[in-house]
Amino acid sequence: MKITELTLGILTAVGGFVDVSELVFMAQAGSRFQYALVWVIVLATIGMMVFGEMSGRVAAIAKQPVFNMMRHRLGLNLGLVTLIASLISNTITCAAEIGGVGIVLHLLTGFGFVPMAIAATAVFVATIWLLPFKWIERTYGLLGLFMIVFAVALVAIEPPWGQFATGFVPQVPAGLSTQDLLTYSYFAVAIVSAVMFPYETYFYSSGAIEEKWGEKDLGLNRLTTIVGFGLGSLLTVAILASSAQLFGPAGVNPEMPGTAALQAAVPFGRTGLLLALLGMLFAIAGAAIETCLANAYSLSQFFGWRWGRRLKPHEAPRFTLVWLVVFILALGIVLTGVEPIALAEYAVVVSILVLPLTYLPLLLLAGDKSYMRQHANGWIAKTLGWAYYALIVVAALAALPLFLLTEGGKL
Amino acid sequence: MDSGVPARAIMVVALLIAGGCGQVSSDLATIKTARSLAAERALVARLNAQSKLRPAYSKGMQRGAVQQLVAARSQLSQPDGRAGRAIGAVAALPDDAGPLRLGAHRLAAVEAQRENH
Repeated sequence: MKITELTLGILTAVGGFVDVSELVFMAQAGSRFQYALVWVIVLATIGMMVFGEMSGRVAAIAKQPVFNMMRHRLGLNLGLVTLIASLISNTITCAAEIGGVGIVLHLLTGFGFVPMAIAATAVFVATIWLLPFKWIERTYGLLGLFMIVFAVALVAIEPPWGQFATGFVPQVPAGLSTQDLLTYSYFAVAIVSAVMFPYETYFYSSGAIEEKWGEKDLGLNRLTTIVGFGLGSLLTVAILASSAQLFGPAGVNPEMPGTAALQAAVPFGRTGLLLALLGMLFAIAGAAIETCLANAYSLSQFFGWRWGRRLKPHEAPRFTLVWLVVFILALGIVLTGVEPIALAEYAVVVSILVLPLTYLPLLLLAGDKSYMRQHANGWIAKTLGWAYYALIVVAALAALPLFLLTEGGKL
Repeated sequence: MDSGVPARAIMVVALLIAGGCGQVSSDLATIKTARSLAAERALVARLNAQSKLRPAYSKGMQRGAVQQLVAARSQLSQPDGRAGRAIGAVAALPDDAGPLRLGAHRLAAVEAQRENH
């Protein structure tokens, strides 16, 4: 395995880890509950590593993308339900990302939000149309590394490190009222959902097939999911911790996606602000493309159409049509005037409902020796896989009641 | 598996989500949002006065917050009540950190009063 390939793979995973939902929920969680939810990010990141690694391994060995196995393992009816729910969830998420990019461009250039959202969507369409898969992934992933400014900013503002460290210990803060306890639980569930978004698995496993992964790529897969996702999640921890330090005491519970950029402006002024906005721009833009392509992958794999960015657009016409339609729909949602933050909230709630259905067939196939041979889940992957499966089922059951009881974490 | 079961289940969940998404926020949630927006405006104004922000960012954030404050006021059950007037006052303030911070404190007081009732 080439070291350059490995480094690029890891860096791409780091830069592509954060999206608009994470920016919103981490900043709000830090402001509201200080460091008390850091452990949930760690917990969810390990879950993402477990299922991400599994999906990459299944793609490399069994050559099965997620939705192909979903239809075979869940049956047509339940598979179809999962497909529809995923399409809805990904389209809302894509709309939230397009709205987020529109806002960041508006804050960078001063031009109107609507023209910026339309222009961004046009750039996304051109990107997918013109660039091969690897370049799409790498361009946005690597440019998303500007997000590192959030981690540097955290060090610069010198938070109380001892207090910050206690956040890594699972806890329920003492003295919370019943309402606060519900809101704390809502944020915990939302963080699990935002970190373990199902589109990430669809995109990752389809990408592995696009790049023709085989047995030789299992090391790259493991390192990308463990080191890449691990370092990526440090950025989200930094956003939460800076928010605890800067926004909480100021009474700010970020209501606008652009607010997070202030975290870098406080220690580094205009340069920090610019780097933060650029990082947010590319990270969110990458997520917009991923969510859109995830829908095209899902639908094509489910119905057995020709798919992939390795094919020219006219060689996979239905696949091409789907991603174009998804962008148009997502842009249409943004143009109705719904706040991107509200879209991110809905996306997170809908996504957590889809997670159990997404991960069950993956877990079953990754443990099946007839497909996976000696690469089937060992006892560690099996134990972690089922433990996390139980966790996301509980989170999925709790998500909707918590969303309603806390008015989306606002109470 | 009976195809009706998942279909019914997804319909129920979809209706719940649609209901949840479409629900009108309670006055308390709206006041909390407005209080935070006022505090965000104050923070942006303070950092802008320290020349730490780019003009496009500062203007965009202030304009966005004002629009959301105006929308928040209209969502209240009584837009011309005490909370509504306080939100309207914060929305009308210039981009000046001091008055905006006071406005945020006023909204925090309204919020505390609602929470105690």
